[in-house]
Order: sequence, then C-alpha cells, then structure tokens
Amino acid sequence: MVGLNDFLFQIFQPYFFYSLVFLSIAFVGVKVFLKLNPFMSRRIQSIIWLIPLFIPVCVLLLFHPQTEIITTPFVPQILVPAGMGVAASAPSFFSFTGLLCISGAAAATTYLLIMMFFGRKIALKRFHVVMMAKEEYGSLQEKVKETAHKLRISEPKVGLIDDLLPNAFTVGYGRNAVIVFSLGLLNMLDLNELTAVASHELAHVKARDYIFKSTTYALTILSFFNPLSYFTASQSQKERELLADQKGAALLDKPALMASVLTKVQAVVQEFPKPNLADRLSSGLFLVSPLAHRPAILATHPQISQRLQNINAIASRPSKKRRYTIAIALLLGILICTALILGYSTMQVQKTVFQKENAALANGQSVFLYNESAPFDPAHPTGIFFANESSLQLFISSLPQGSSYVGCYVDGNGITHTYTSTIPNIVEVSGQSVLVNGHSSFIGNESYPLDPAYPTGNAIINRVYFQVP
Amino acid sequence: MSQYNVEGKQLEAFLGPLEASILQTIWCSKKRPITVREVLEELKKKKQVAYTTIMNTMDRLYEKGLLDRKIEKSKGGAYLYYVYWPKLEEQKFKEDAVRQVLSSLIDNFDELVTSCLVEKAAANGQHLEALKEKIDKTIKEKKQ
Repeated sequence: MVGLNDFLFQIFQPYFFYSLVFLSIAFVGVKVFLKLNPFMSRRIQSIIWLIPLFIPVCVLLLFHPQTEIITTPFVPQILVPAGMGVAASAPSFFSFTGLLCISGAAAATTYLLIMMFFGRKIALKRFHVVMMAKEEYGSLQEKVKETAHKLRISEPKVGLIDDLLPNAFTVGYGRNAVIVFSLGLLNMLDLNELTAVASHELAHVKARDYIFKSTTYALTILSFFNPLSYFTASQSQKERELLADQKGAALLDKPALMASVLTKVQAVVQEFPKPNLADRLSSGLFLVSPLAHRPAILATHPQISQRLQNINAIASRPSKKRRYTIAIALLLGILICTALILGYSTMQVQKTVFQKENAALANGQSVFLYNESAPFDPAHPTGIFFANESSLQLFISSLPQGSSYVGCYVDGNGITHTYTSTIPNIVEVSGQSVLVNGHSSFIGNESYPLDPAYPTGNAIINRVYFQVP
Repeated sequence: MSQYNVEGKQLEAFLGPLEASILQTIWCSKKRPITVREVLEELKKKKQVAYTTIMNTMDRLYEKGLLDRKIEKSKGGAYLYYVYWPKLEEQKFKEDAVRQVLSSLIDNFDELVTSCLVEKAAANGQHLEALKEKIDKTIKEKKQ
C-alpha cells in the first residue's frame, strides 16, 4: 500500500517539484502580466507565453532528475563512530516522478531532433503532399513568389494534397519551407482569396513558426506531466496565429479579405465532423497552421471571432511608442522578479549541491570545509567544499595570517577528536601530507595512541575545518 | 467510343495518349480503388507529369464512363478524397470498343467493310481459316 510519506517522497523529487511549482507560478504570472498589458504586440506576447515553458529547462540544468530517493536526512560520517554505519543503511525508494521527468526530457529531445532534421520529410510523406509543377496553378504560384519577395524571404515550394475539404498549412522552415493547399481550398477560393491564405502561411514562414512550434511542443513534452504546459503552448500558438493573420492581412491590397476568407473556410470546415484524436495530434505535431479545427480550449488556432476582431482591430491600436514603453517597463519588472527568484533558488541549489558533496564523506572520501560558522559544530558543517587536496593547499596558502582552523581526526576507537590552531603554524606542505606545526590533523598508519604533537607514519589530511577571524 | 484514331496504336486508337496510359496503369495496379496521387506516382516513374493534368484526365475518363469514382474518408476522418476504379476490365473494354467501331463501320459501309475484312484475313492463311470457321459456325447456329 502506498502511504502518504511515499507519495510525498515522490512529489518532492527536486526536479519534478521545482518544475511543477515554478512553471505554474510563471503561468499565473504571465497570465496576469498580459492581462494588465493588452496592447503588447502579438510577437512579444507569444514569446512571453514561452517563459513558463522554459523554466523547467532552467530547473533541469540545476537539478538532475533522480530515479532513486534517499529517505534519511544527511548525517555526516564524521560524527558517526566507525562501525555504526547509519548512512549505509539509509533506505531508498524508486522515484516514479524521476522516471517521468527523465522520459519527458528524452522524448522532448527526440521530438526536437526529429522535427529539425526529418520533420519536413515526415510531414510531406504522412500527408501525401504532391509538389506542384511549374505550370500548375501558375497564377497562384506567381502570387506566392510576389508575396515572398515582399516579405524578403526565399520563395517557398508550393504543394497540394488531394483533400476535398478546404485546408492549407506550412511544413519546414527557411529555404525548405513548403506551403500546401488542399484541392478543396483550391477549388473553393478565387485567386485573390488564395493569395490571402498564402500571405497568412508566408507570414508563418517569415516568423520562423515551424521552429517556434517545434520548440514549444518539445518544451511541452518536457513538462508533459504538468497540465498547465499544454495551456501555455496553446496560448503561445494562438498568438502566433493572430500574428500571422495580422502580418498576412497587411500584405494584401484589401486587408478585410483575410477576414472574409477565414469566415468562408470556417463555415465549410464546421459542416464536417471533427477528425479523430490521432489525426488531430499528427497534424498538430508536424504542421504549422493547418486550418482544420480542434477543441477550443487546447486549440492552436484562436476562435474565428477572436481572429476577425484581431484583423479588424489593427487600425484601432494605441501608438507603437506607447505600447513599447508599457511593454518594456512590465518586461523589466518580470525580469527583475525572475532574477530574484532564480537567485534565491540558485542559493538553495548551491546549498543542496554542497550537502550532496558533503555526503561523499559517508563514502570515506576527503572533504575540506572553509568559512565554518563559529562556533564550529561538526554536526552541522557548512562552508566551501574542496574537491581535492591541492585546491585546499592552494587555499591555505592564501589565508591571512592568524586564521584559525579546527582540525579533526578519528582515532583507532572510532572516536572523533577536534582541536584548533592558527595559520602561521602551517609549516610544511608536501605531496599528500600537510604538516601543521609538526603534526598532521589526521595521519594514516599512525602509531596508536595518536599524538598530534609527535606524528609518525604517512600524513594524510582527511578532514580539516577552518575558521577565519 | 466517340472517336477513332487510325494512327494510334493499341488503346491509343480509341483514347488520348495520357488517357490510355492512365487506364493501363489502373488496370495493371494491384490497388483498387486508386487515387489520383497514386496514379501520378506510378506514371512519374516513366515521365514527368503534373498532378492536375492527371486529375483532369481522370475526371474526363469518369465523364466518358470508363472510370467510376466515389468520395472516401481517411481513416481518422481528417480528410475526404476521390477514389477511382475502372468500369470495365482491359479485355472487356477492348472487345466493346472494337465492336462499337466495327458495327459503326459496317452500318455505314457494309459491303466495303466485309470485303476489306476478308482481304485482310486472306493475307494470312491462318486468319482466313479462322474466319471461315467462325462464319460456318454462325451460319449453323442461325439455321438451328
């Protein structure tokens, strides 16, 4: 039976917990921020919506997902008389949340790599796209070329699918981008209307939305266990759509044409039943901006009413200058808050890393600590960790005269002894041995009983705690 | 069959070259019914040809009554597309076409056609024998 404790251990797996909490906080933050600042440009809004999704990546850099949870609190070996071995018997659990995080990270990386290198090929094959020959729909292809020149992007290839429903989408990016029209759309719309659809799709190419979408989806897969990540991704994609509507409409002689095309297509699409989940997923994962619809709440496309309002509202927006001032001020605010949160969590992380390294003590490895809080308490060591003896020795040589240190050794009976001294007493540093005032803090192969005043054997510093005045 | 091209070889005597190769492709294909795209993929192995050209030609073949078609739904229901299949198999089509042309010729130039046929058949002894047998058989059947 799974007890509450087991459940809590699973939840508090560091990466899982921090990614869940910080993403959620950021989601609410972004939502409030954008509510307070409705005039921000669509491009910036879409990027801001990505912030919550990027937070788990930062967390991932600081905490590695673990599949094993050690349940006992840290107990330094230094305090444990030899033979008692408390740390060794610490029970550990398999972390399912850790496994979730690792599989999310692996799936996200795989998806991103596939999309970047093979996404276009897979999509063209999966949706049976046929490349248009030069003579096919010549005037439409000419219009696509013209619009691409207006946008200063390289001419994309144009393809078609034998779907009788009106649909259009983009696959690939940069020079390899392909704009695809369905037969249904080609038959339903006249040249001007098709140009409007092409402008919308070309605006996606210009905005590099294929890369944007792939990244967004990869980040969503990374945090797939957090429902808010789907809402965030969907919001971000909607902003991208609205942006493409705006940019596309601006390219047309009559911007209102974009609105009328959208209404026309939507009216036909809605008459047909929605495709099943598998089809919706594959079109969602591989294609940029398919016209076919999905349930409103998770849709990548905004509701038609919102899109029309967006296109019509281009003229009635406040001046660019004012929008930028408000946006920059609010963005700065968010950045400062994020920096504070990140700074605080980094400190926490450093502390955790230190404790983790200190736990190495339990394995019999050497640990050196500096800047111990006075009075020195071996039960709760704090301070800087030295990974090896040479870095400790370098440090000792830089210490001011008069610095005191606390040495510590374990005698043959497993009893820990501590003593203090001052820096000028360090008289010799050679190889593995550090002799302090003629005696080492811990001496391997020492004749028993140990007398620090008259060391014999090979001197090996095992543990030294320093205190600087 | 509304037209007959005396210079065309095989199917091209009755149909345009593209129509003939499309019909031939559909007859040879294991996949029935077939989509325009699948015909295109098959034909592209031999020559460069555009999708819309194939689509329009298959549309014409449908109007001529040589192909039949219906709208199919993809498995997930995400899109709709036309699938085509031949109304007649290759042998049946050829038989019907030849019969149609010949009966039109005979209706218009009765004597001329018969003597022409006999002349053509006479060029090859075997054909003449076969023709004789067929004529005898038909006469017998009529008498009965």
